[in-house]
Amino acid sequence: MKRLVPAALGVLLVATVFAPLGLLLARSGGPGEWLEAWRSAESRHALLGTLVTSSGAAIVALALGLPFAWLIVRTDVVARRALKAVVTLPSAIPPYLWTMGWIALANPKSGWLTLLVGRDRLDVYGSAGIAFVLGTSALPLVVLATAAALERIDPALEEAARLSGANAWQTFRSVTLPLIAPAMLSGAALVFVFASASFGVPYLLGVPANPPAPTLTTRIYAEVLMGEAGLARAASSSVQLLLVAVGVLSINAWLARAGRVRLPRGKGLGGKVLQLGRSRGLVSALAWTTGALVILLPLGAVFLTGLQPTWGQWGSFTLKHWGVVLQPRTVAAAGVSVLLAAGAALLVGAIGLLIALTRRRWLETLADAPSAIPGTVLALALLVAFSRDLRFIAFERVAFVLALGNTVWLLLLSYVVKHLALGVRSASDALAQADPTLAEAARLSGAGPVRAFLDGVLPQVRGALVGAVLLTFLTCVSELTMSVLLIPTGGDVLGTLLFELQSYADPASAAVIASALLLIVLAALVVQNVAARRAEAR
Amino acid sequence: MAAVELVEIEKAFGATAVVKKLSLTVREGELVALLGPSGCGKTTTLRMIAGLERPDRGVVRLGGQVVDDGRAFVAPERRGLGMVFQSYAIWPHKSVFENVAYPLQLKGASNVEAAVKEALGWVRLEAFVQRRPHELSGGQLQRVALARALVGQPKVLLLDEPLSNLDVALREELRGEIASLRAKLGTTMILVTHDQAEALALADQVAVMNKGVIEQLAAPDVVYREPATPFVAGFVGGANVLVGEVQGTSFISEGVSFALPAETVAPPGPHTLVVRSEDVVLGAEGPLLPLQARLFMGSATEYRLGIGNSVLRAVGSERLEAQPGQGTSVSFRAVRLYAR
Amino acid sequence: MRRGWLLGVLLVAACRIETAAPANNAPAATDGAPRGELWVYTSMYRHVLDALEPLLKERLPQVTVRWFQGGSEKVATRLEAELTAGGSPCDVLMTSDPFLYRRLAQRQRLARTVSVNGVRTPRALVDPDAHWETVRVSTMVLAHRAGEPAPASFAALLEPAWKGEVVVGDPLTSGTAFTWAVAMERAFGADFFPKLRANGARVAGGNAAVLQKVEGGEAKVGVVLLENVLAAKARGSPVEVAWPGDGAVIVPGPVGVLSTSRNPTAAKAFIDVLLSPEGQRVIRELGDMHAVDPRQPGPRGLDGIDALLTKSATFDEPFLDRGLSDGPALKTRFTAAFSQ
Repeated sequence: MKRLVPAALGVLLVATVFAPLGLLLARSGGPGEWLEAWRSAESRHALLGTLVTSSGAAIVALALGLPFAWLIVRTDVVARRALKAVVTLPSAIPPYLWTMGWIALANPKSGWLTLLVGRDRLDVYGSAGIAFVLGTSALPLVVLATAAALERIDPALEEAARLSGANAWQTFRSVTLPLIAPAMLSGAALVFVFASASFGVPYLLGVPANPPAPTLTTRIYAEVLMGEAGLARAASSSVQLLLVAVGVLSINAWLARAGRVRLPRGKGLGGKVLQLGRSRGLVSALAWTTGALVILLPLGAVFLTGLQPTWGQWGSFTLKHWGVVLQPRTVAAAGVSVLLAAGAALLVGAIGLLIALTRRRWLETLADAPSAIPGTVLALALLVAFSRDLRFIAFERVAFVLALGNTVWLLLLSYVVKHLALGVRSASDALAQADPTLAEAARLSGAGPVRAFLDGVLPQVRGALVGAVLLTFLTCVSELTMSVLLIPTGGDVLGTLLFELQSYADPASAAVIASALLLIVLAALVVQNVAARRAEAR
Repeated sequence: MAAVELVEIEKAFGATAVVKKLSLTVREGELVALLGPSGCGKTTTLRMIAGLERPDRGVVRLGGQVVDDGRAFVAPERRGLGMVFQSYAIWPHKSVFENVAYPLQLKGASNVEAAVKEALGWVRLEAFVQRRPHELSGGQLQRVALARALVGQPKVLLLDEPLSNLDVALREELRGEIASLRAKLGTTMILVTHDQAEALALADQVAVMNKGVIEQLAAPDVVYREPATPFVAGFVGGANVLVGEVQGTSFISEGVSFALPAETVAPPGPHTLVVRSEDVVLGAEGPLLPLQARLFMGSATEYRLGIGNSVLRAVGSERLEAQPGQGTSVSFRAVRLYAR
Repeated sequence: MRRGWLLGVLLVAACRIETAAPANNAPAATDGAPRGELWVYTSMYRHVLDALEPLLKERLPQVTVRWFQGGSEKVATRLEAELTAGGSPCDVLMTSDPFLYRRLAQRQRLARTVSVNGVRTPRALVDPDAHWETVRVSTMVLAHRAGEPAPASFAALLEPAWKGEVVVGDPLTSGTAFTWAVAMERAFGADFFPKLRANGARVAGGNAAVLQKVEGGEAKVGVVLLENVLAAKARGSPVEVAWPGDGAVIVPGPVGVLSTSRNPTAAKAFIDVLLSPEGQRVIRELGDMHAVDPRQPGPRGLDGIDALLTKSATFDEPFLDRGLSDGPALKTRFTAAFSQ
């Protein structure tokens, strides 16, 4: 049993992720062909675009994330909890929603904000715009990592610096910053990887830019659309994208090991907040204005777009587009999305916990890897591998037929493997921090192993696991990148419906569905918050 | 001139008053211990001296200069203090050398290296100068913290529970180290601790704090021998505290009448009686109390006797015949009475 | 333990995995009344499909029509992937990319189909080999904001007056934009797109994205489908059609039956319904496209198909072959031109 479970999970992962990936790569030639393809000017252009926009996004996320995290954890800024909720909102909302909002706000000819500062003075299209939108929509990765590190720092470390003669700024620079730097940088690395794998934002903002700003993902998409010959080039670009992601993540892991700093816990004086005093009003106004501008305004713009009679006609409003929400097609798509996302989220939680419980490093790494594979590549691999029925034949008799092609199960599979890392990581982090003596105490009190797990271990990891499940649900319910390629014939999920409407049929309806999606996500977040607060109160 | 002077300082967190109209003067070169149970306000008092908290009312003076009177405020880094924390507060991203050198570098001092060497010499850690903090034990970390706090030759050294994270053997070793450092450097020190042995061993003056006020400020032997209040007696000497009434030459508590020692004179009326456990005499005369437990402690044995719902503790070296569950006679050799 | 391994190896050796085309469980109806399941892959607008459904239900009561709807290129990508993988459930293909049908016909993927209702279709829109029927005609025109000047022709887009104000569809994602691109290169040569790019023209995904940029004022002129402009106008959007003097580009929307279809009878009946006067009316009225029946007027009061053909660039077999043979190279040239 001890060996069988990890082995079975490993085989499952290899069969569903790595074998299809190998199949895809095999169809696209070998390293020789890839190197050849990488030499072309367009390929270099795309690689450069990915590197520039991704580093830009990481810088934007750092520049905004550090002050926000510090204000939220360390000061009495007005409405701290609400500010935290606002700046971590992007983790639950697909980046293309922000893009829709920013196009309405900051396109160079008729954007709302553009018109305030003058035509052509503001341009969201291009590398800078891509980096900005990706950076803001990945803001939570930096804010949460930095805030957690700030909370972990023993306040005595900073007080010791003050007593040594350092003023507040010197203390921050020489003590606080070096201590939170590893967490901040690893957050930034995640932003980089997230940005490099993102498709919707660079597609909507990079292709119509002047000059255009291609990235690896948009290039892969274009190449795939060019047919058989393009597929090989797409695969070679996928390899580049994979290398970028794996490279950044390994550098990050290496840095984390090299600069490992154990943060000793304080003696409960933590959470001492800085009284901003007279500057409280000013600082709060600044923080809230920034948060509102960067996070809330684009969402509001999406909402308003759904209320305009025609695109770009600000000033008059109508509800006529909202009829689309009640159309059977929308309702069906929403239903499928919710069911798939819920199924995927629960599976991610359960399998993640199971893998974490085996405590096998190799298995965790195996489960972690798909999250670094860009969605486009993963979906393409699954499509290639599973569009044919697989017949398992034992002793010359058909034992089992696996027919995944053209079914929602393939979609479910892609959601689960893509987000499995989230479940594994939160479960294994929580298990590492969990107090093993509780389970041992339960065993000694007469509980069997299962009972001891349920009573002793599960309560300690439940919080982290529920968080992972909710986040997976929220990501999957609006997933686009993989759904576009894997959606079965005749079906829709919310993401593809939105994309279809946005680029082929009716942008106003797209904005309406986007708004409805927003409302659902906000409602889910409120529910989560209330539940968390109630749990805290207990 | 007083090195530290607190005048009627008050501090509340929310609705809870933590420090109430507290005044304290620490003379130069003196070591004053703030002793009390957790939550008595001793750490808050220390932090107000450091400038890490600000009093709601009152004045803080250092070396005769006002550093905080509600309006004027001198920031902690400009008070010329050193501080050692319970959690060591050694910066994990800096080496031992960098930790100790930091105060000097901020001052722009010359010859930093020699000064760091010397400070590490005080705490016998010269060999560890290039180590990283995670390679050091708790006791070594706290010695680095001492070196760092002293390297800048502060006017006053603040010690916030410096030994309570260490195990017993290390604690005694470091206690000796602090004492010898003080003898060598003559630095004024304020020590916050909940450990009476530590306070009594190190301090020139002990301020026993309870619920935000100083109940007694005196030399250690005075505090021990002549506690000013029943709380001080109970906290410092580990004495028994009985609430009752003096009637003639008897003290009646929980319905039990004890004979007072001959030299004790008190007017009749409600009193609190304090008796050290070594002054409780068993098996000679007096009322019978049930023996609850017997704890052998090597040089002596502790006996626990039931009185009402509480426990009377007696320590003696002689063997007592009574078994747990049996009654034994109890009398007092010496007591202190406080009118209620 | 060892025996377990042996057993496992034996078990694995006895097993293997085979791949096979997806099973199609649609009942084959080869004669008699059309019945059973019919898979239609189409790029036709969803609301047009919704309006066609009652008509199909009435005419083909025993046939269950299942749609896979998406942009032309997406439908094509999916179909190609399925065919490469071994088979597709698709019976009827109805998109707006005539080149795809030519290619499929060359690979013997399309069955021959002639509908009695298609006899009036103009010659230019009929495949002489009867691999498909044309059911609708879309047209690429110029769109501009109402009340503002418009370019006189596609060639005029290269003029300085329109510098930085033109937006076109992406031939990689939009079949109609591809057809337009083929027509432009035929008319103006391979340097048309580099020149267009040099004049500041930009690319936006599909037709809806192009129109959105004109509606929103991001660009003054867009190359877009007639039906999209007409629908936007009907919504009250301030956009107008500008007919290019050098000929609009028509994009016939073919329909064909896959040679692997399990239900050719229903497929043929389905095409008959689409080409019937009622089917054509639905396409024209709800889809804002031209019907292929010359007796019907154009959408929104425009002239019918014959008039449209006279003010459009020639659409013929050489044009189809050009797009087919030169298509991949054109896409590469276009991408190269618009990536600087």
